[in-house]
Amino acid sequence: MSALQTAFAAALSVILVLLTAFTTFTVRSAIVARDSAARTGWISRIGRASDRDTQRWAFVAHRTTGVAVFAFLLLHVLDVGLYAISPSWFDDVHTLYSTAALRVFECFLLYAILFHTLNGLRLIALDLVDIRNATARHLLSLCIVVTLLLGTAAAVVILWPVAT
Amino acid sequence: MSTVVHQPRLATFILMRTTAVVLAVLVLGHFALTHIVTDVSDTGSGFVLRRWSSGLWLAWDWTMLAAALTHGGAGAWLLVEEQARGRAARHLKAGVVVTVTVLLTLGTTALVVGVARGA
Repeated sequence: MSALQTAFAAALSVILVLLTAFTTFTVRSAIVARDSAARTGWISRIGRASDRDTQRWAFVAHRTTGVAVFAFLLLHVLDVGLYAISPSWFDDVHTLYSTAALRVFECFLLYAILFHTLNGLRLIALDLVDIRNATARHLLSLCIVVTLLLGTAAAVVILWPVAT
Repeated sequence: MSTVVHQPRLATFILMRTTAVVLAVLVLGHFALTHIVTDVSDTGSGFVLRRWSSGLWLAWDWTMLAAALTHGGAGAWLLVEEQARGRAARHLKAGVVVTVTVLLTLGTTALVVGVARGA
């Protein structure tokens, strides 16, 4: 690996480690919030428990996918920025994108982008239109199903060149 | 609480949502083009050169760059506001603004140089 490729791989590794730590932190905070809400009891009178849990997990998923995509964006602007200095430097780093490891990463990136996009549009819809809690939960399920379907279909296309 | 406190929040809120709708189209389109329509192995500097010789793609890429950094930066800002206090929060917010500004400048420079290379 060239120095630039090593730098890119190192930066991506750091991002993935930090992301794992952040996700663990966010998930643990959500569990603590759920447990303390259950213990205090008073809040359980507001709305159905399943609704609050669903909303909390949707929030956790939205936040962690958002941070993940933003972290990658920072690195991606840097690697495309190499083009301003030298197209051959850009190509040097860019060849990493078609390796098997990065293709797997790209699939997960797409799952994150799809969920964040669809759930984000759902949240905008909830802000603009009066939607019942049950409908909001159905829409969340729809977001998850579409994410998995589109993401998996794309994963087949993305991984095809290295799988065959 | 005065409206002074709430107005920036409202601005962030509106900024998040308008950029979100723009990004839903631009980012998914970008990903589809560079990973599905074209295999990622064919998206090297030659692909970039051809792409940036078109005004439409320049507009697409710059709008996407600005909207994504704004959206992500505003998200990071809200995250800091929620999780950090005092001096740490001020430093982190400054970090977010500096990072977004530097990357927007770098990305814009790459586009301008890209156009110059194609000319």
